[in-house]
Amino acid sequence: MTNESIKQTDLKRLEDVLDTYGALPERWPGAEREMLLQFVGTDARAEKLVADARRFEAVLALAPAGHGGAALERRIVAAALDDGGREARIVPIEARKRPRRINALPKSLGVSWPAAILAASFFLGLYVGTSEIVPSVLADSLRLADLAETADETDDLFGSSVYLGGDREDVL
Amino acid sequence: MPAKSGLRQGPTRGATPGRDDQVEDENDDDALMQRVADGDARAYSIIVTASLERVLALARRMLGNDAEAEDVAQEAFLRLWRHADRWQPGRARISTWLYRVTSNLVIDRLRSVRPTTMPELPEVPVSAVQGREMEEEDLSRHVDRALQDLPERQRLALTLFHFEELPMAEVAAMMDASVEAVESLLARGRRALKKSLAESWQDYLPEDLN
Repeated sequence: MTNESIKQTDLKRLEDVLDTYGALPERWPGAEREMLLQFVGTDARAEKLVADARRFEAVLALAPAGHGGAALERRIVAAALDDGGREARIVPIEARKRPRRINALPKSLGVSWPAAILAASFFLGLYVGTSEIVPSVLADSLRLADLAETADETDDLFGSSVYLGGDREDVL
Repeated sequence: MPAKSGLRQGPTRGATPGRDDQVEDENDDDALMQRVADGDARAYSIIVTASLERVLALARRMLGNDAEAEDVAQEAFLRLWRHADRWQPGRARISTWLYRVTSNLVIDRLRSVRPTTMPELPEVPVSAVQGREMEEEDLSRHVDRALQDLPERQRLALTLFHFEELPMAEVAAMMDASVEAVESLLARGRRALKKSLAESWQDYLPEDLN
């Protein structure tokens, strides 16, 4: 095999690697990376292939990625709090470290525990329903008792299969 | 660039007195998920804030539509909220789970809707557009269109490996395919994009690469 034919083979392999893994050497297969980098460093055509691949990826970077933002975050969190299948429990950070006390309300308030929960739940629902405040703000100022949680009748978290298809035209 | 892993780092440990547990939790997916399973809305909010951009980017690149991408993102997080009590510690990262669910959701959506034609691009030739910003915006639409024209598995492979920078093995596992199959999808996808964009991309480059 001549030197030139070896280079042609390496060029073809470099092109395949660039098409598969992209222009960043750190993403190339480990077993070939050093050899290909040496080749790029010594062959102008190889260097151009990598440069073209970088330019192309700069263009790909223009693909729209969508923009999240605080408003979308709030909407997503609110959707969970409104979710009929589960109920949220807003737990102040300090309370997570203390053992729960059933009768935490001072007797001087003259308010029974169930009545306090009912009232708090009502005002919480009113507040969350009428404002866009992220629940984390409430967590630092409200103290609520545990609410009943309803488990979903759904598959195990890891049981939901990744069914990305074996019947598509791209499958080898 | 290294692959993204887990959630982003929280505040420095001990920065706020009495909040060490919370800070530690924010760097620990299992602890966060336990809190979400307990109904902790704040923990859920932390996950949303940390993961939304990536989930949205995956959905947007697959669906080609901002509103649909937001719907899918919302559904993915809602499922995490609903299923948190079934989280198995030590099995996976939250980000991995979210990528899987989002991938499934976008595939479902793509298969359930009738194919629609992409909006027609302006008839003004690309080469006649004035100004770098307009050129980039136009090229962005071209790229988006070319991406949406790819078969969905090529598009998904590219989105997960190239755009989301996930390791090859993880992409293969997520797509329920061999590494060789994913490599083939990536190569074919990239070549198809180059062909689609051949007439426009060579002339329009970010200035820092000239």
